[in-house]
Amino acid sequence: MNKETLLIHYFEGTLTNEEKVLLFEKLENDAAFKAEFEFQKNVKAAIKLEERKNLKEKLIALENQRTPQRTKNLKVRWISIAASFVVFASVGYWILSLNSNDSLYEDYYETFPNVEAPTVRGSIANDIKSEAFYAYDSKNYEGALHLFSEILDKDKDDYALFYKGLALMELERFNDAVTVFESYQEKPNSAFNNYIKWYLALCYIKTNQTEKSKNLAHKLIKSENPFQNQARDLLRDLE
Amino acid sequence: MHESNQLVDSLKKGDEKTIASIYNDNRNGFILFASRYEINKEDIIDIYQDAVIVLCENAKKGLLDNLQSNISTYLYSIGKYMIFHKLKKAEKNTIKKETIPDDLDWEFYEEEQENSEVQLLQKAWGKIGEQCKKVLQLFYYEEKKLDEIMEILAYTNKDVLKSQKSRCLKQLKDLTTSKDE
Repeated sequence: MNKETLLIHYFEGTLTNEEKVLLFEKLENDAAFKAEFEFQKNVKAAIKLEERKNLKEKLIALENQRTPQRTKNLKVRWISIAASFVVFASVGYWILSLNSNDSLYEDYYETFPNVEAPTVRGSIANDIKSEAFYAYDSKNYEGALHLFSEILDKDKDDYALFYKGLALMELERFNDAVTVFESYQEKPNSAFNNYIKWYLALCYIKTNQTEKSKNLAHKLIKSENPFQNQARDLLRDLE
Repeated sequence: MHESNQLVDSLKKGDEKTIASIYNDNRNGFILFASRYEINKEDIIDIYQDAVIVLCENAKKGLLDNLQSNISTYLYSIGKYMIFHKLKKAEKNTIKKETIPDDLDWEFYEEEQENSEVQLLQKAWGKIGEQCKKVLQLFYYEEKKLDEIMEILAYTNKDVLKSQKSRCLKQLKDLTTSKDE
C-alpha cells in the first residue's frame, strides 16, 4: 500500500482497520508522511473556511437586503385603511375596525417553531410527542391538535397546552385557542408564561377583545422577554 | 417528504435562489426560537447564517439524502447546537450540555483559523486554476470519493485523476512556500 493511497482512503473515510494501524505507524515513524498528512489536513481546512467565507458574504448581503418587514406592512396597512375610508366611508366604523384587526393580526402573527423536539432523526415516530411535533412541523395542524390534546389530557404538560393553542390558531379556531391559553396556569421562570401571553394577546385581537389584548401587551412590556419589542409596537398600534 | 428532497437537490447544486428562500423563510422563526437564550440579536443572526452554511455544506456532503424531518427542523437543530457551542465558549453555559446531533458531522476549524499555513493556503486558493479547484473542492469540501469524482468530472482513468489531484496539491504547496508572497 503506497502512501498516497493511504492518505486518499483517510480523507475518503474508507480506511480499513489494517490501514488505520498502518496510518498510525507511519505518522509515528515517517516524518515526511506526517508532514504531507498535516499539509492535506490544512488544505482541507483552508478550502472549507474559504467556501464558508464566500457563502457567509452572500448571506450577509441577503440579510442587508431585507427591507424591515414591519414598516412595509405598516405602510401598506395605512394606505389600505386610507383607501377604505374613501371607498367605504359610509359603511361604518365596525367594518373598518374589523379589517384593521385582521391586518394587525397578520402583521404580528408568526408561526411558532417547534423548539421542543427538533429531532432530526425522526425516521419512525416512536412516541406520541415526536409524532405530535412531526405533524406540527409538517403543517398537519388537525393531526397535531389531536395529538397535543391527548398529551395534555394525560400528562398536563405545558408544552402540549401551548402547541395545542398554536395548532388551533393555525386552524383559525381563535375562540378555542383563547379557551386553551386561558386555562394555562403560570409557573415561576417558565418560558411559556410569556409565550402564552403573547399568543393569547394575538387571539384577543382576532376575537375583537382589544382591551384584553392591550392588558397582556402592557404586561409583556414590563419585563425583558422575546416579545417585549413586538408588544410595545402592538400596543402603539392598538392605541 | 417529496418537497424536502427537491430542496436538498437544489442545495446540492448550490442554487442561490433556494438558499435565499430557505434563509428568508426560517429567519424570523429562528430569531424567536433563539431569543430564549442569553444572546443578543446580532449574535443570533450570525449563528443563523452559520447554521444555513452547515445546512448547505452537509447537503453537498450527502448527509441530507435520507432526511426524514423537514429542512426547517434540521436547521433548528443545527442552530440550537451552535447556540450551545457559543454559550459554552463564553462560559455562560448554565444550561445542560447539548450533545452534537448524530448526523451533524461539523467541524468548526477554530484552531485552524489561527494556523499560518492554513491562512496562506486560503490566499493561495484564489490563485489556482478552475480544474484544480473543482477536483480539490469535491474531494476535501464535499468529501466525495475519488470514484465519485471520476464520474462527476468525467475522468475515464482513476490514475489520471490521482495525478491531477497531486499536481493541484503541489501548486498549492508551491504558492504557500514561495518567497515572493
